[in-house]
Amino acid sequence: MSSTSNLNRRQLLRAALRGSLGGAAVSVGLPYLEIFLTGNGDAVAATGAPLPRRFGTWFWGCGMNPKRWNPTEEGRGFELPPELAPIAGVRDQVSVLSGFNVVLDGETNLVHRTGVIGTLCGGAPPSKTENQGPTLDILISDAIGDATRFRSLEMAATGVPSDTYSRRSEDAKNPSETTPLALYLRVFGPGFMDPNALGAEGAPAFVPDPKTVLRKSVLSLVAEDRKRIESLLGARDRARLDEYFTSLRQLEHQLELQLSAPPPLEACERPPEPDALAVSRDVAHVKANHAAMAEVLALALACDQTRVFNMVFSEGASQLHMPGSSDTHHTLTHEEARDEGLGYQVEATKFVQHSMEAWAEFVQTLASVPEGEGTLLDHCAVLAHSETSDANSHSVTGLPMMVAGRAGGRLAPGTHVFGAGDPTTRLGLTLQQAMGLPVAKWGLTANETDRPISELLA
Amino acid sequence: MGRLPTLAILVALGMAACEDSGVRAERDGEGAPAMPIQGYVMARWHDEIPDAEFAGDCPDGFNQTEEEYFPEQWADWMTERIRRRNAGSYLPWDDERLPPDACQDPLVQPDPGFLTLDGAATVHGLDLDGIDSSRAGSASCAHDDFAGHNGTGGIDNQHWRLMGCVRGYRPNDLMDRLHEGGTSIKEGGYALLMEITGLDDPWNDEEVEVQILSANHPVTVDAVGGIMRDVSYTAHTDARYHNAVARGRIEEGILTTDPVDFRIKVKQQTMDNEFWFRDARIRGEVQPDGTIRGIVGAYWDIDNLFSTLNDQWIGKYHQGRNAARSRGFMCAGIYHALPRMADGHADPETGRCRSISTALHFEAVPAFVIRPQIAMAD
Amino acid sequence: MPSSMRQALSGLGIVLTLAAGGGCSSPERPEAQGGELVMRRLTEAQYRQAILDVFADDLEIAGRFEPDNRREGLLSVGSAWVTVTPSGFEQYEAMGRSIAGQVVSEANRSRFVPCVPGDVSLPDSNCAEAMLRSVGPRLLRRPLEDADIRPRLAAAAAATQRTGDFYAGLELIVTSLLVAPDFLFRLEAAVSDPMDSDRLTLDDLTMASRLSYLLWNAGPDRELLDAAIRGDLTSEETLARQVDRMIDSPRLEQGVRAFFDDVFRFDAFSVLSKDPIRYPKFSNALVQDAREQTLQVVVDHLVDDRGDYRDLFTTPHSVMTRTLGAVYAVPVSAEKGWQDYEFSAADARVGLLSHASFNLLNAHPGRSSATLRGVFMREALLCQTVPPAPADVDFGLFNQDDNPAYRTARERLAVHASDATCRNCHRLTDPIGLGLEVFDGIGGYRTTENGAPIDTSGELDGDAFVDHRALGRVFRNSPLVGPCLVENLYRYAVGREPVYSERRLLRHLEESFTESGFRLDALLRNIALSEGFRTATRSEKAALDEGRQAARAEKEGAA
Repeated sequence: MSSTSNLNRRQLLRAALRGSLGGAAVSVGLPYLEIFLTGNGDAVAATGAPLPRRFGTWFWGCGMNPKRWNPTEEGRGFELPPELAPIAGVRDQVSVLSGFNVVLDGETNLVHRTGVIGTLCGGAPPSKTENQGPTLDILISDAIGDATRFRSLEMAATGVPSDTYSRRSEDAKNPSETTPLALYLRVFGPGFMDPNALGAEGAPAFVPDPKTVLRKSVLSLVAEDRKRIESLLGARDRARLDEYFTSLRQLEHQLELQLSAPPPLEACERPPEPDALAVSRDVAHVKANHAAMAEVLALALACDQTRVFNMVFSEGASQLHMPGSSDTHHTLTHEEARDEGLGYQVEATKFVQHSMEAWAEFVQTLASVPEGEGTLLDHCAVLAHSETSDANSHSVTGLPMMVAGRAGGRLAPGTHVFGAGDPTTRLGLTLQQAMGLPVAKWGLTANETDRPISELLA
Repeated sequence: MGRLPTLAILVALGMAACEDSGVRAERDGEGAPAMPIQGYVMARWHDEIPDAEFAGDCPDGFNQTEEEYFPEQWADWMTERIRRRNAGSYLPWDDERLPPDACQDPLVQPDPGFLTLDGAATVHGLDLDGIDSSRAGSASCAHDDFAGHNGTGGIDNQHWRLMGCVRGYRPNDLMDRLHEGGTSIKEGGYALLMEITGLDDPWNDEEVEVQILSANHPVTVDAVGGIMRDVSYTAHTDARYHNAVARGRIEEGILTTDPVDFRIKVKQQTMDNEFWFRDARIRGEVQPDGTIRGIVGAYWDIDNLFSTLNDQWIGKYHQGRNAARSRGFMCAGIYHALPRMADGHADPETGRCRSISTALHFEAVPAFVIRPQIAMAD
Repeated sequence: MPSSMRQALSGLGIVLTLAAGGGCSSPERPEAQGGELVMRRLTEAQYRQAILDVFADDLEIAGRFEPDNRREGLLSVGSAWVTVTPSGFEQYEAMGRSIAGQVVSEANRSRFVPCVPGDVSLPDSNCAEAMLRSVGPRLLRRPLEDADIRPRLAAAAAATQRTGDFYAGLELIVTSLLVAPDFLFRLEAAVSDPMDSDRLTLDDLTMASRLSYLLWNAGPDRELLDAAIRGDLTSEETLARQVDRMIDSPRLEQGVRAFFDDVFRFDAFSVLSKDPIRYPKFSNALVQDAREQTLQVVVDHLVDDRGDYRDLFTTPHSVMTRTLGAVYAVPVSAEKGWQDYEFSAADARVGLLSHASFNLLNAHPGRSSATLRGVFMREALLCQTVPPAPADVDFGLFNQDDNPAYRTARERLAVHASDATCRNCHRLTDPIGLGLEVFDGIGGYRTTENGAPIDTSGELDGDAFVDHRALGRVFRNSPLVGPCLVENLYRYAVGREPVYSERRLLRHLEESFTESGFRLDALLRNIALSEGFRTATRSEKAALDEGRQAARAEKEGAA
């Protein structure tokens, strides 16, 4: 589906990334674009505009063992503690944060909830229904989501659509895609416009699908009705209807994009359709689904179908389990005895290992897509986090967080930052700024901060 | 309110009735008390193939297939087959170049002889005739018995002597692997059932009755590929497969039965047939989890045996010779060998035996046997 | 239950005999002013029902529905809070397009399109309008207005001109109806009291919707819509006639099913997974059959038999399939499908709590959970709140190094009882949850766990029970069971928590329910005819009232 000239360019890029060229030509900062991305059809080279920045979250449930996860040295080149060993292969692309808290400020610690909502929404929620949104990814996608077909993409390796933390409120949660195939069909099924197949040299000229116009006119019809309905409603319902119309406009936007040829994208290629895999909370199934979803997501990002994504590996109070076991990760964290010699819960900790392995695999998947001067990961900022540090005590102090990627040059990963009790909102603020949002301060009450974490920034 | 007392009385009566219901058998983790009737479905049912090869099993080698033994008969067909294959096509199954098919009509080929397993061996099975026989004996259909495991002797298994030098039947070869996989059970069209009645104590009971039946439908396989417990099966609508009831007893968890005949329906892959076992005895061990594992020793009617070996079909095409080839024997050979090896049910006039001793392994898993309604469905 | 026994029982005690199809010709229902109007999003079941009612049951509905949200224990209340997310809207549009395409396809158009256009390649406004009028009112649940018709006809004509196909225009019309907010949301409208603009009375069309969703879980049928247009639903007598018609209809079953499916939290079945090694009998067929079994038993008893709700906890009557038979370890003679099954007095199972459904759902992938079952019983069946776990729970104190693995759940949970922080909540849940420990994580019966016998004795708020069978009896006799059903059904009906001014109405509904012999049809009738159901309060005032009520409750609590 790509034209031959694009294929050669891609091969060249891959070769460069693998270092098969001599050192001099391949280093960050030199004007690559002129050397490698010549020829027509490459909007990036022509306009000189930077490649898009993407933001994502990656969630795993039931935290870690602080004594085995938190690095002791700050700065770069820190020794990887045992539970971080799985990220050794990608440590230069990942920064680790420890010692940051969600400050409760008088609110109850809602177990398995306050930690994640606090980090994503800026403050400890007073109840299960209040202040549960909008989350960080929504703030960012509101700012940058208009450019792409999908405002954001949510997926859950557990296969459960309500395993999601992306929401405007408790009642307006973005449901997660449940299987790699479902994700693939949504992004690369009917409605996908391959940017490299249309309008480029030698490829057929673009002809918009006439059905798209009809679909748009259906949406216009419905949108006309808005005022009449709104007049019947109270304030709360008007806000809900507003959401509905925002979602309608999002689809209109998608259809508009389909009416014109998308600019070619070097890094884009349509992935093969994934196999149907078993879906359950068996940790082996979850890892397999996660890996397959990551592959589809990486190319969805490379093809600029979205710039914001949210992956749930395991949900808060993780119900992941080993085959044949009567326990889940969560029940183990509460019921398993600590091994006297080792000092931690052996079976429960296996799930921490699995989670960190999956995270490393996710990062590696994004890093394996060549894009521009480097890789897709270089143009991403991905926040990995959990709802608790020590799950046994539901602790929301010292929450484990990691940031992968360079955000197009804004971030300099590979360092460890110790928060000394600062609120996790400092990271949320930093990431919003890295993504270009004009935000000077963020957070609620005691979690409010105006100090980004400069150690993370380039 | 007047209603409450009435209901309370009803429930109290119910509780009282509970007190003296049968004997409870506590299987680990299982709570259901022993019923006077206990049904089973066979999770395993296959011929005995010994655990190991013995050095002296087949000194003259193994049986040959038709193509190996009558190569000149097959030359034309082989040539044509290769020619067509190179051209990307195939010969039909009823191609005229094929030599006469002894599986369909055993007399169209000469008797090529048959290599049998004549030596000593240790096998699983039962002593069906009550004596430690030998060929040297003067009894009709004289045959050598095998040694059994655990120091037993007099094991009657002429079926193993017949098939023991067929390649596909050797330990760890084709048939052994199929047995291990349980495909004939899991893919079979009709589950095989057993029902024990008059059961007062699952560990010791002087008098029980045991019936073997075919079901009307296949087994239910569970989430990990095993045979699911406690499933209800309807017995086959044809009462031919409901079989006579055998008397039996359980002593210290060992179930044994008196001889009984039974026919079972088997439909699997290319086979759709019935198996006819005569004077069969069961010897099983009751397990703590409620399953029963053991041996069925029986005399297999030899005409029936021959038909099950070669009466295989795909649509209108006979598959007997394909089955014979893949397992490693010739129908013509086995047809003539069967009466020689037969050791049961001697014809009173001719003295020739009509059935051959055999042993089958079985594993019975608790299930419910439902008798089909004679009236229309309620 | 044999009819002779039923007759005998109904003769005993104080039972208000209910006339055929009728409820109590009840004495005054107390005044009540309902809370705010609610805009509820259609659930998946309601969406499918709409397509079935307006078109047919053989249309393929291919798409993914957004998860519903549970509030105050009910999806019905949560539906008044959810909205449509971008991915949700994508799905609605795709589904709507697909359904519309099937409706106007060559194979189907003679069934669904009431006319034939003059020229298939040209616009035909008359025929397009006929189609719109044929399906529009049923889908939007109200008569069509000019603003619904003119723009659609214009768009359809434009579509036909673009494509040269009249039916492309019809497809556009039908799709636009299926993504319209009036279809996806149940909009409510009311008329304000001339004396007090905060007091509202629901208009006829809103009443029609409320009634048909409460009683049939479906949009209003033609007769009900016509009654609404005539203004029949604002006068008690004509309203009662419609209510009685709908309660007598076989479609009542669908409404009752939907209610209990919600109360019992059966939506969780769609994401249920069990470990196959520990539970090899688990399968999707089991999940479907377990859900259906409980709903059938409930409907058989409450709708077909017009029985006493409390008897559900002690009834030996059930239904079985072979799939369930394997888990229940009982013989099932029907080769396919369902058959009646009566548990004998000697059987381990009796009543709703012994059903596989609850025990499957309220358990872990690899084992049972007395706490989850206890929470479910308290919240869903007794309407009690179980506080969430405290944050600082630390089991480090209890996991002794020299302890062998606890063999039974009772032993494992005993640590909760020994600590003051844990005890407060776990004493609510564990004693009754442990009463069901003979049912493992998929509802199979067992008497031992890891070799140790399972003790299912306990107490429910002071009422002791010796085993799981007795738990059903104790539940049946609990004074909370009836009122909880009333509260759940009322909330389900109005889509929100009851407000302060409805408290007397609720007491009255509870008393009538008891006096009627705990009959669901009587309760439904009472709710449908109550003032709380047909009135509302302007939402800003409602919010104010709620604040005042909370303050009042706090003061009463402190006093």
